[in-house]
Amino acid sequence: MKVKPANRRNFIKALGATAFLLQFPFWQACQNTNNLDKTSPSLQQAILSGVLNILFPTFDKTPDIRQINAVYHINRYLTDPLIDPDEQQFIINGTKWLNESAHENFKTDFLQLSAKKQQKLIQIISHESWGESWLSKLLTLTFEALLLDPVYDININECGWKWLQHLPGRPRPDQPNIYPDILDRKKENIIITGLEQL
Amino acid sequence: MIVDKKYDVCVIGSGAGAGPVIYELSKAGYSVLVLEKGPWYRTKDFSKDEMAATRRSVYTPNLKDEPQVIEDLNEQGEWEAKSTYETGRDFWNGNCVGGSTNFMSGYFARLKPVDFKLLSTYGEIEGANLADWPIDYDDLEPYYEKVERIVGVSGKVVPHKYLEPRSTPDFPYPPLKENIVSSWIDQAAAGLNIQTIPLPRAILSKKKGDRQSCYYSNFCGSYGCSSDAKGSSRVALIHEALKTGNCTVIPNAKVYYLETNGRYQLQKAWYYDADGQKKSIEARVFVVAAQAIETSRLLLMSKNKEFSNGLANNNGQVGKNLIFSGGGVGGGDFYYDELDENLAKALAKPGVFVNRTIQDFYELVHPKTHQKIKGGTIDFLFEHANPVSKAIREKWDEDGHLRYGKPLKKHLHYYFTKLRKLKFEIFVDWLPNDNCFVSLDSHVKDKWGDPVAKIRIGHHPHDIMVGEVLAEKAKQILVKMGAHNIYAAISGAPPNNLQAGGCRFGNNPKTSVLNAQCQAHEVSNLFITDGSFMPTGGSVTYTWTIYANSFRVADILKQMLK
Repeated sequence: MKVKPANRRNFIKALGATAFLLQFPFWQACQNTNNLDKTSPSLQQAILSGVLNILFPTFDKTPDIRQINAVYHINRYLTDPLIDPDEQQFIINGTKWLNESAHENFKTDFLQLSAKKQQKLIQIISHESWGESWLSKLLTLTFEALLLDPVYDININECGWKWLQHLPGRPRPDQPNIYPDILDRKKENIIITGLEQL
Repeated sequence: MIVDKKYDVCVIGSGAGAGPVIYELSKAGYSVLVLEKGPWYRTKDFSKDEMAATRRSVYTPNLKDEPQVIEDLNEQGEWEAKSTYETGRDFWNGNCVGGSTNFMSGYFARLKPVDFKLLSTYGEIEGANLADWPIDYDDLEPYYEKVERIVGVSGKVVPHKYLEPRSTPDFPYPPLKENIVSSWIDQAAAGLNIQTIPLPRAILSKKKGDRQSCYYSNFCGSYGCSSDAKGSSRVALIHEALKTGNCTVIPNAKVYYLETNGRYQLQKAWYYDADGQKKSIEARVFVVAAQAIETSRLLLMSKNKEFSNGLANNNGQVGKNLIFSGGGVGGGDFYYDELDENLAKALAKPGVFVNRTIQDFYELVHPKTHQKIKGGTIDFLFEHANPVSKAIREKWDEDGHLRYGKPLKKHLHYYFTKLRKLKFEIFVDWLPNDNCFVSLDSHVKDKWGDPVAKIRIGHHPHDIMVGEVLAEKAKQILVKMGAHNIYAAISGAPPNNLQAGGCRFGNNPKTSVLNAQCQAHEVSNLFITDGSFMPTGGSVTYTWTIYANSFRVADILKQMLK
């Protein structure tokens, strides 16, 4: 089994200095940077959706990206202030690097490629260090959307659980004890002297 | 406010090393203040939410706020230090009231008499800092029994070659329900002339006071318990302490400095409250149980004129001889379609436990020298039911390439629906050595601006050799059972949740931090009761021993405070 790079931040930084000039919110980041960057936020979203559909395609009535709400889940991950900003930036930058790879290999944007060439490009980058790491991260987030509790507005109607015959444990999570609300416990400035306070 | 008073005892931490002291001294009528760096998660806060349990930093600190530094050998064979914020290699465990006992699986085993005398029984091992304990098994046995009763341990005593002496004939709680696979393990092992033993668990199999029995949720380890059956320090001990009216707990209170009075006595503990404000409290006695790494860090941070190298560290021993649990994991797959329909259903049944352990190899013969050496323990268990974690492990194919697309989906469906993985865990001694210790990092700071723990994690090659011998035995059992895809992975990578040492106890003040009572040689009102005291760790999980020793120290404190 492979593991993620030992030092993810240095790894990410080493991949492309220009991409890391970005210091702005995620999907808006590219609008504020230099001329090297041609991918708009909407383009990034479209690329992301395209890649997810290759990683986790629709066939034989298996849950697809839309049914598990994977793009929503990833967008929420990208705007979660508790997630490492470098991890978030890496996901954004991957869409741009993919487009750069499309130009290097096929002289056009990723989204202009035929389905077959898009698949080929994903295969190519899966053998590159950054690409393998980026696709792996997207798969992890896809698995979360597929298999975490539907209380997070993913795994809609438990489609992922039903498909994989997974039985959830009980009690199931519910407000206010879901992430990130449950973290409010870390802000409690309290002194406990009796069980009745709990 | 209440914290203005001077307490009899201030306890720093609230996990296995802290709970018994909190419980016993509160019940004995002493005023006890508990400072816990994490929040108070109530039982009602816990659910079977994989997002909170494993996918985000909910029960552990955010690594950006509270990194640690791990020093490991790089490919060039040099020690290289990296922040856990950089690597994501998280060494934190449960940071909340009750500590990691909230999230343990509760595989409980006592040490054996030989574990207290590793050096004198087996002799020196080059490169290892072995030491006998200053107490014997007999000193701890009454407290092991106390843990069975008060914390609650379920199981069944069966005679075997290495059964440790007991003052009671059996466990106070009968064994938990088992999956059919347990009987298959028994049969296969018997065919190899290996004895299996029911694995004791710190989980109630019947109601105890306010605590309900186990309801077989299928999500035990890594999750807080929703019936309070699991013997966490929080529900088994701190809840009871609060009922006395003598116990006060301040959650989200991060202790960063222990202040002495100029006469080698502690007088104050300084902490950051939930709002980041610096506060202090006074007490007659201080008990530190912040888990091994952070306990050493706190002492090293508490420098002053008397202790220029850190509290109780004028001999330079604080942080040294950190140990983990050595060994590794392995497993094999059972395909449902190779089984009769009823057997397949029984194997797939969720919730009920495997609960089998093997201690036939607690002592071995060295394959080269033919001398007797210390062996270890094999535990069997199912792969955890966490679905996201299961899927993530299947991202890579046999050649190490990323799976995606149709092959990924087909594989996931097959893996989740057509087989069940039986795993084993190997526990062997992590030999204490000069390359496994805690110090303070000179560059990396936490969110409060304090230096973080730097942990060098060197292991002794002997640990690997012993682990591999045991793994072969476990694999033979899986072969006999007809498992597929059998594998084992023994390594020197430390399990972050099984840590001890760093403030070892002993009779020689030059080579140990604590005396036999777990009292600092240099500071008579400082006691350390987490796993830090252990000079060697035995070949089992540590929690039962930490609980038992904390009950022992509580009796010492009661005498001292009279």
